Amino acid sequence: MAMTGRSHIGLQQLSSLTASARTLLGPVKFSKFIVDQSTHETVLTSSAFRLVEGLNLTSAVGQLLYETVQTHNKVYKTGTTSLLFLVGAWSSAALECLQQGIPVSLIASAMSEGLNSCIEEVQSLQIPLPNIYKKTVHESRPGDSFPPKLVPSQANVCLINKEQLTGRAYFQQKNPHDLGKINCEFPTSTAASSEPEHEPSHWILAHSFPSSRAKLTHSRHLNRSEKSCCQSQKFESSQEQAVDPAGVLAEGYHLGRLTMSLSHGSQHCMKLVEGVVACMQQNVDKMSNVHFDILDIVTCCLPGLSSSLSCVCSGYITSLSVESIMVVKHLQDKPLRCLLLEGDLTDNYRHVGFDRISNMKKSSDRINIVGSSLEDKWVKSAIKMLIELNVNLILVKGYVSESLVEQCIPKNILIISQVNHNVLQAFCEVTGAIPVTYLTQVTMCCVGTDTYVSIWKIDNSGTVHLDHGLVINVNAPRISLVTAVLGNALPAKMQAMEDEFWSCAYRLNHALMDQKVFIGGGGVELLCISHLQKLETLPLKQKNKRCTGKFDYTSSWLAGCADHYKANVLKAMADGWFKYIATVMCNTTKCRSELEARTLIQNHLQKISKLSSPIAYICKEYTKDLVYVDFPNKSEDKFEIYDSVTPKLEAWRQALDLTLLVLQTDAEILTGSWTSKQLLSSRRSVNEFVLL
Amino acid sequence: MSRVEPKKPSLCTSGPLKQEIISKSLSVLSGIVKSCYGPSGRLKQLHNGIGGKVCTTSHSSALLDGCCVSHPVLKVLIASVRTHISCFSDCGLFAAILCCNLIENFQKTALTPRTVTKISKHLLSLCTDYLKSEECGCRVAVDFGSSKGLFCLGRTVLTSKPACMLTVKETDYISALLIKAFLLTVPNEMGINISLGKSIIIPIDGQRVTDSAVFPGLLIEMPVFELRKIFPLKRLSSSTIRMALFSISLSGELPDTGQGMLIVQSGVSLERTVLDQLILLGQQMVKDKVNILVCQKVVHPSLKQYLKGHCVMVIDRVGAAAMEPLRRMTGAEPIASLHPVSSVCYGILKDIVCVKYASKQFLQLIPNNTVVCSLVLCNRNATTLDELKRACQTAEHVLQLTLKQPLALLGGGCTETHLAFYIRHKAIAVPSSILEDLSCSRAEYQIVADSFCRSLESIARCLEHDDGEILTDTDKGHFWSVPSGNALDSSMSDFVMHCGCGLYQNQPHLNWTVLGTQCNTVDLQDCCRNNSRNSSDQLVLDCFAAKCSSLQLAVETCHLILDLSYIIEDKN
Repeated sequence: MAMTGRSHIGLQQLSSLTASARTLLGPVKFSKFIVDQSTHETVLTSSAFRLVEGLNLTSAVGQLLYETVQTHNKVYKTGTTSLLFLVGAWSSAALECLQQGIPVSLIASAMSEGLNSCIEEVQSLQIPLPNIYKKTVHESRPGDSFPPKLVPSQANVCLINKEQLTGRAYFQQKNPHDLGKINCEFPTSTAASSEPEHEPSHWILAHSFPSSRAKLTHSRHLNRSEKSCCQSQKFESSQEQAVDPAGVLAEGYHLGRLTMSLSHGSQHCMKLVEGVVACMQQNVDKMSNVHFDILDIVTCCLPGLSSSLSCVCSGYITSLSVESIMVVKHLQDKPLRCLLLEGDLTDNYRHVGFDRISNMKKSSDRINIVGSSLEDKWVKSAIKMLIELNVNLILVKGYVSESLVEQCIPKNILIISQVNHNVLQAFCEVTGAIPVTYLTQVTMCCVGTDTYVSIWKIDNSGTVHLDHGLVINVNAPRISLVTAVLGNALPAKMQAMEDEFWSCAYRLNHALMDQKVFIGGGGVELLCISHLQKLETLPLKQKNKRCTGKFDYTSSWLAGCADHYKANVLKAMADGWFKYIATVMCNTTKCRSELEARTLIQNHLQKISKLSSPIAYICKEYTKDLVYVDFPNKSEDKFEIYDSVTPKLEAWRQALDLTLLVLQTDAEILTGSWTSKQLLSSRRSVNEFVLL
Repeated sequence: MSRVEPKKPSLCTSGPLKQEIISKSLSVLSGIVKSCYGPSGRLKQLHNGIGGKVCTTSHSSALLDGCCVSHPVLKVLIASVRTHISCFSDCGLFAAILCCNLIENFQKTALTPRTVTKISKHLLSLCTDYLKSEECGCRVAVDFGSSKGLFCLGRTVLTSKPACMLTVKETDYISALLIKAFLLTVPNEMGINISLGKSIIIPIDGQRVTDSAVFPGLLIEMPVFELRKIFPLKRLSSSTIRMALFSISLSGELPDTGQGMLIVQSGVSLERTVLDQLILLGQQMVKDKVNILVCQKVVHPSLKQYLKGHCVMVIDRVGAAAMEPLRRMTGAEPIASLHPVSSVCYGILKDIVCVKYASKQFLQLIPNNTVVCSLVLCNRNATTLDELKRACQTAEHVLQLTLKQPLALLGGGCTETHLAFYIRHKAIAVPSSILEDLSCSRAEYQIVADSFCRSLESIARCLEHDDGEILTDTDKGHFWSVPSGNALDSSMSDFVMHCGCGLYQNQPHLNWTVLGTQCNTVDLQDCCRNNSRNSSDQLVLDCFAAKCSSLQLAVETCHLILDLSYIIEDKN
């Protein structure tokens, strides 16, 4: 084991690692090249998570940063740049506090407390979606959409997916003092098929996160026995109703304003997302509500195609090698019988978990004269089976044996490999095909029907001929799957465009899930700064109030000193957001220099500090000032700028968590056995480490 | 070609503790554990230095598991602390710090290890007797009639791990969940052969802490597409589902043949043969009216297809960790062969439902009894989630230990300072009969007792990481934290409202001294009177069993290390 003590090299590392994210912030991004010095390979990147992915972060702090950004991206697909920027800004803030001699634990608790308080405060800047729709319908009186508290019920609208109706989640929420009773109170559940009204009241429908506020419901049993204290919850749960959020669209609301407001500079990609919504609406029965399901979207990237030709189509669009063109032409416009395979379609593929034994030999008493290998035999039997079942189309999740593909071409059987799981699932639902692992498992009932294949054409420009093959559309009636075909003349920008598309799709998804959006363009951050400034000057401690921060040091002297240092910590923290807004303004060329941006923000803050209601100011005045940032060329077509709620708040939390984690770390321990020679060769300075 | 090397002679070192390298390494190790201690402890980043996963922690088990030390003395110390952690989960850092402190302080005395050992053994027995006695001033009874004591115990474990990054609200939330989970694992029925159940932790990262929840029964994560595949489910009766539990792989692979070579006639397919056997097994399942087959490992897709065709639900790859809970909750015996299965092996489930939770889809197996529950833990990132998982495992263990022995010790440094306070009092008036038994002089006894108390007090000091000062009151011997330079100042009443454990409130009549200084004799009976108790507030409570054992282990390990006079190393 080796150990090193360090005086906040960690925080310094964080702030320098994140410095490069500066120009990626905001709607106007400056792309970056990441160049590998040894191979001269270059990657173009314009999103923070690709940037972090591209950097080879080997230090412990670097890895933590990478992990944090990846996790956030995995869940939210948007907001990673804010995350990265704030990590940097707050690391500098923490460093500054350390230099002022503020104890580590106090910095951590004050910052955490500050963030929590801000998150509570900015709730007032959330706009429920119905207000936006309403605004669209009666072309707005100013301020119309901003008293969100007038419509409490809408905030409680929750999502219940149809598929989840089969699943029931159990959740009990009780006060800690009720805990003693719990273990005798577990419900007895009934069969899944029983009538809903006979179901124990504890069962509620669980629905997608993060609309978790409406998720928790009290059991009726509890409500009955403790009527007085549970009135409010009862009210809430009576407001709960199953509403498909995008279903509002079907009632004639206009989504355009919302999507454009959420586009954040990627209007082109957002238009595609709108297309996806429209396409999903077309696919389903007009009577039922539209379901915006992110899992039903796939992308098909066609580098070389002009980006203006990007479009959205129902069904599964993919590119194939040119050899299959005759098969496709033959099969075109005929109802096909299809098979779905979950693994590879090769001779020697075995399901996961199957261990082959290595020490087996085949012995034969005859010499193999014909020369037919095992694979040939397998291909033969496979083709025989496919012909018997009259299958024309096979979608395979993994790889496909090349000789099988070759021999299937003359038999007019089309095999598509590397198909995403969601695609298989979508075809499984509408064609009746049952996915199998091996061809030997296939029976008549596994074969799906009514699938169509066609050569994909762009509206009014004919077939797409790309040098690497042909593009086909696999479709089935009523399929929920929608493909966004993304083209870009510059292959290097393909990845960035795909990321941008997903980021837009997820932003809309989050807005619909949350049923609310934030006022964007830095308005939320501005409120945070003004709120923190207010907290700084707040009178000293309220004695009986427990702090809402990270720790409750009620027994430590730190609790007594907290107020003494709090102002400085909060000031440093607010400066992080200050930098954030200023950077956005500079990047969007709203301001020419950081100084100008800072002056502008300072002006706003001064005005806010004089007002009793900063929220109204931000809603009316500040947003007016920022509206054109996102849409510099379309001044006649004004859109507000909105931001997704949960991804933003979680990005803040993640950023602060990482900063505080590193702040509180004082040593690095290398596990495993190290010798001083190994330490030297690993480019670490030996003096930093102590060998134990 | 093999080469024979002559054996190297063993290396024998005498007086290992006198070597400089040892004292240096010991002080580094003690520095690491001390800096991790308590709610404001500093974290450590553990990683392999070549790009492996980074673990940020201040938890003793993670810390010591990562420590790979070369010197035998350190190895002894770490091994004994790890043994303690494996039995009690809690108080690992306490044991490590106390042991380091004792070694350090005893070495400073010029006494022989024999004398030190004898006297400190006596001091240890004084401590344990006091802790076990009714009049112990740093012990509280945990009342299972209310959740308060349990809540405090859970909370103390969580707050002592800052890398969990919980807010106060989140800590309360998780503590409440922990009690829920714990109570679910307590069997409902009475009897002789009753044992506690188990809660299984299911970690999900990228979610809010308050999304964590407890579910009775076992949750098995399953992607949506898998879920759709395994339904429908046939039942034996409306609330009975017969389950078969397999611990062998049903993937159709051949059993391991060991070293030899297997020669197979061409045209014979071993895979086919094994699959035929599997289908036979499937037929028996159908015949025996089994409703659900659960397998620890993989089930062959063809067998799955066959069983599904007969409405038998198949869940495979549940993993070794789920086997014991499944056995406990269903009464099924894990089946380890393909041979005809005896029907006594089957177990019973009450219900199976789908649960969508925190962006993941689960299958919930609900048993008739409630000895197994699943605790879904969420945290914002993987690092903090890992720490939260460790903390929750510790807390669960602490609650279980407390059920066996419904006592708790005051935390927040108060037990240590109080014990030191008690020992100092006892040492002053040590009867000469005891000195005779120990065959030592009064002065020797005093020196060892003083080192012992300083070691205890030094643990309490380790709770302070920001240059504060620790005071103790002359009345109860509790722990009070003040800013440095402010010691004994009259203005300190502004800073602290209550002592470390939260039991006593700051009162004007209290007298303080800097921790570690000798104090005047006070009537011991006095310190046990329960005046000015602060019963309304939350207390900081530590697990009684874990702390007692940890105290004992630290002293005994210290004796062992002090007794070392030679190290013989095999250099081959």
